[in-house]
Amino acid sequence: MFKRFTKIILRKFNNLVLGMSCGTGSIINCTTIKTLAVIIAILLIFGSCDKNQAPLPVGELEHAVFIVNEGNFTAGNASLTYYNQETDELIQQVFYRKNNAPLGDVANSIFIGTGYIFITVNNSHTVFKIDAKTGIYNAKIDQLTSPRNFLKIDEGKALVSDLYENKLTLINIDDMTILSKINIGRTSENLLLKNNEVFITNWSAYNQEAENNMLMVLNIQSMQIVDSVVVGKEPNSMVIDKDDNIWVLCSGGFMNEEKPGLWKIHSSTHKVLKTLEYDDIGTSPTDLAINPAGDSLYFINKDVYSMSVNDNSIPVTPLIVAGENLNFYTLAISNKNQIYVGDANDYNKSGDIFRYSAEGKLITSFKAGIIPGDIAFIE
Amino acid sequence: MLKTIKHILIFISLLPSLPAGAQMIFDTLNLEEMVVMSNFVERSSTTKSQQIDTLIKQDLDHLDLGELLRAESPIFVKSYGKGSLATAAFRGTAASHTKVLWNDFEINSPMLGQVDLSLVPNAFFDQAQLDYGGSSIKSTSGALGGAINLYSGSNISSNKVELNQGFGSFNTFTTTLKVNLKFKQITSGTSVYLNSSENSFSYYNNAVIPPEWQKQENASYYNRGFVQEFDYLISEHHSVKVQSWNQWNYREIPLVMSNAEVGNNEEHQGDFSSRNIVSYKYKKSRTVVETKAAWFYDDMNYLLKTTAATDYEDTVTFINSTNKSSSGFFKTKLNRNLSKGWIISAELSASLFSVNSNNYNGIKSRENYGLYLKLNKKFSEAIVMDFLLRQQYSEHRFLPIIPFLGLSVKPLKQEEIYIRASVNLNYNLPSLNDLYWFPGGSPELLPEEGMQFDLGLNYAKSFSESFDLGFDISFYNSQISNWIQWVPSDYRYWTARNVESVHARGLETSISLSGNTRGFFYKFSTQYSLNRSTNESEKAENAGYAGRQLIYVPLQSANLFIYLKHEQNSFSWNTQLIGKRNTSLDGETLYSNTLPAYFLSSMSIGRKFGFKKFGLNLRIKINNIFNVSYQAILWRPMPGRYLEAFLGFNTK
Repeated sequence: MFKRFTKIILRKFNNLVLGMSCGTGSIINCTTIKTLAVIIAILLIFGSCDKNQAPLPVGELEHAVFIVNEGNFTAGNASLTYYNQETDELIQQVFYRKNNAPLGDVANSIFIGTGYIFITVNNSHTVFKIDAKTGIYNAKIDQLTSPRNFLKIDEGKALVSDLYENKLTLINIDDMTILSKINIGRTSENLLLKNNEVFITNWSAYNQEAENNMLMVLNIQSMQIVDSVVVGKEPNSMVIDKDDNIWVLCSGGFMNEEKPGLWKIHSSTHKVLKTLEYDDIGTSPTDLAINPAGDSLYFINKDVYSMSVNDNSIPVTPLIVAGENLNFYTLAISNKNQIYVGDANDYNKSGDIFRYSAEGKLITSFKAGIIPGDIAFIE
Repeated sequence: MLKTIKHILIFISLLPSLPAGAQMIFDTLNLEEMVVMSNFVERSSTTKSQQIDTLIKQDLDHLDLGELLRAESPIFVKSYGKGSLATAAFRGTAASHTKVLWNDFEINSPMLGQVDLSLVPNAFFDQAQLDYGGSSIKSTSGALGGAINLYSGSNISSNKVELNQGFGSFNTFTTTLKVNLKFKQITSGTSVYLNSSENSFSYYNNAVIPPEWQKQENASYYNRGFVQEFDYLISEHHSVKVQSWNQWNYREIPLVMSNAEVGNNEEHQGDFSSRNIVSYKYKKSRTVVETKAAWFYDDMNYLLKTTAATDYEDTVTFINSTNKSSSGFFKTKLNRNLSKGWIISAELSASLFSVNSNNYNGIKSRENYGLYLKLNKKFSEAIVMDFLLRQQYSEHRFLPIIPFLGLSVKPLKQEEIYIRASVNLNYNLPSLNDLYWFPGGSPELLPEEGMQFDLGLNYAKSFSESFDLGFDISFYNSQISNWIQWVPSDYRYWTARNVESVHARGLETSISLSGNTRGFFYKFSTQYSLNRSTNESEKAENAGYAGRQLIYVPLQSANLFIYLKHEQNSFSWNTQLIGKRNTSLDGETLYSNTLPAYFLSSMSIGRKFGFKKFGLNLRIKINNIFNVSYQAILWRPMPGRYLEAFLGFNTK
């Protein structure tokens, strides 16, 4: 097909440009001109544009693992990867291919709702609502300052945390409109709902005078902060265990100002039950996750570590070794109790997802987009 | 409009038939003050250098160096848009591997190690010479891709005033003024450049849902500056020159397309630069001695302010980055023609850089001392050899010696065919940001090392007054090790490391035809380059991206220039082809991983009007004639078709 097209183009070009007579005594001979003409034709052919990947047909995305890929800051190359846990089917750029538009700039997190998925795109100031079965765009809210995480608090409402603003945003998730702003006095990161209370970590020190070492408690009836707990510097992730205790992982600060720590807090009394300190002030543990049974904790500290919720010290032997070549960036435990670890490579190349058993044995691996940052599972 | 374009296309397609299809009548055409420079400097040169065509430069004098290189060289210019940051990727290397020199002194920022080509107005230099690969060692070190030498202050023989005013789409205004004065032994040259644009072009934003036509916002810019030069001919052999280039720039930084509808960002950059050179030259028969001193100052301010999305009074981000650098240079050069075809050149240089930035811990400085020696031997008319050595002393240590060996052979006595070959080493010092940026700068960084080979052929033939032919082809091969890259560290920030090893190889070829026939002066030139640049480091091998083309380095690029002049009328056409570019190191052809190739064409038509004491000229230019929708950088919009008009006045 391509050869035929090339021949036609060359023939047309020959007729148009080279169809003139070559007068005898001409200094420029026809061969020279023909050669030049062919060069130009070749250049024209080289200039033809590549086709983008074809749009995906509307079909169901079953047994889904969704990976939100951040993309590079200000490059607008965030993306959504789909992986089928049963068949290993893999589709890249699901959002683009379903909706013919990019996901945006720095997709930070994904939240699986009933029938819909909510993707928070930080530097595009947007939360997208897409159909959980098809990936088709439904609605968006784009008047957010620097959205980070999304938490549905009842059938019609959700809260969105913010990296720069000292307010949470309460939104209506049916029509994706802002209902109100809730002043919490600090920036917000992780959100966790338990007993009509939302636990909020204060990870970013940006735009606040206070230290970023607080776990705040918001009552969802009054929408008021009712309590706060001082934890370590830079609380970056949070889970709840089988005993309804909240675990908060603190990295110790951007410039490693203090030793990282793991804090165990009673979800009802808000009392600190336990603090486990990391030995090395130079490390930055992140991505605390918990298994479906709620009795084992996992986190990334260059390698992947696991520990029981009953342990009284931070483990020193990794469960999964990253080695020199892997750059573990995100971690999630599936509903089938398997460990998914995202490798961001060098941040310029598409990342990889490694799927391990609960014991840390590699099951398989597959590609994701640039900087896989969050992973979510559909039951 | 389409009909007009069709007519133009037919006209262009007929151009080559003019000399071929008609009876050939050769006559002499007296061209009015037009200096036509060849694309090839010194055909017997052992290295590849290219002089930018004066005709193209004239056509683009209201624009910047980035636009000029795009039109007339195989150098890929990575531009974020009109008036925005533009950097060069010379022979598949990084922006810091292209050194730009103004009258022999490097204008690369000591902080970044690179030059923003959009801030170099074409009106501020008279000649531009591109030194490819190892050819750059003649003028500087560290140019692993190549060097761009800009020269201003051409010989002024009489008083002259030239004023050009340009008007363009999107409220773009450009004024260039040149005043040349001569008082006995003193000459003065003044160039003024004023350029501003609202830059509010319309584009189809398909990065939002639903897609829609939008206007580019927060993208205005201005550049204002002047160059003043004084030349004092003390005596037949002695002269003194003073040159000063002062410029003020301001640009707003637009948002990426997906964010264009939202947010309330105020993001802009302001620059002031002052570059001043004093030089003394002694020239007598076979000896030239030149001593120069220079002082360059740069003050760059970047500001980012964002507000809460629903309350514009509530500022949530405020970054005010202030960066000032001061550079002092001293050079003294000797050039002497010895007997038996030997030429010797030697140079001693010293430079001091000092940077005061709120991104560094305190003021940081660096001293460099250099020694350069060149021997050139012409064995006969057929063989020329160059041997060069460069030695640098910096950061209290000697860098390895940079050697260069080049050979040029003319195999056929009757034909102007030259075959050249060269091999050299080169070292590029880390920029001060690489060393001292807080956090992440690494004072332990080693220089980047380059090993370069070059092989080329140059052919020229003047068949008659009606037809000159020029042809050049170059093959190059460079291995660059200790390539500096910012990589994620064990902490939250990125750090500079000597991690990569890059293999860049390719070919560049150009053809040029020109002549006078039937009252026409014509020129046709085309260039094509193939640059394969891949990461071959152990890290890349392990991560699986070894052998893949580096990001934003097109495998292929080409350009075409046609110029036609008949009496007082002129016509020019320029087409650029930029090949497909990777935007990530990933091999999969997903949309965001590659950007498609594109063609851009522009055309200008001009007429001169002569009067007794002055001349006027009028020119109209159509850019992006075919209204191509393209992105040079992912999700950064570029303008479609737009117009410019120029009105010029000059004294005789």
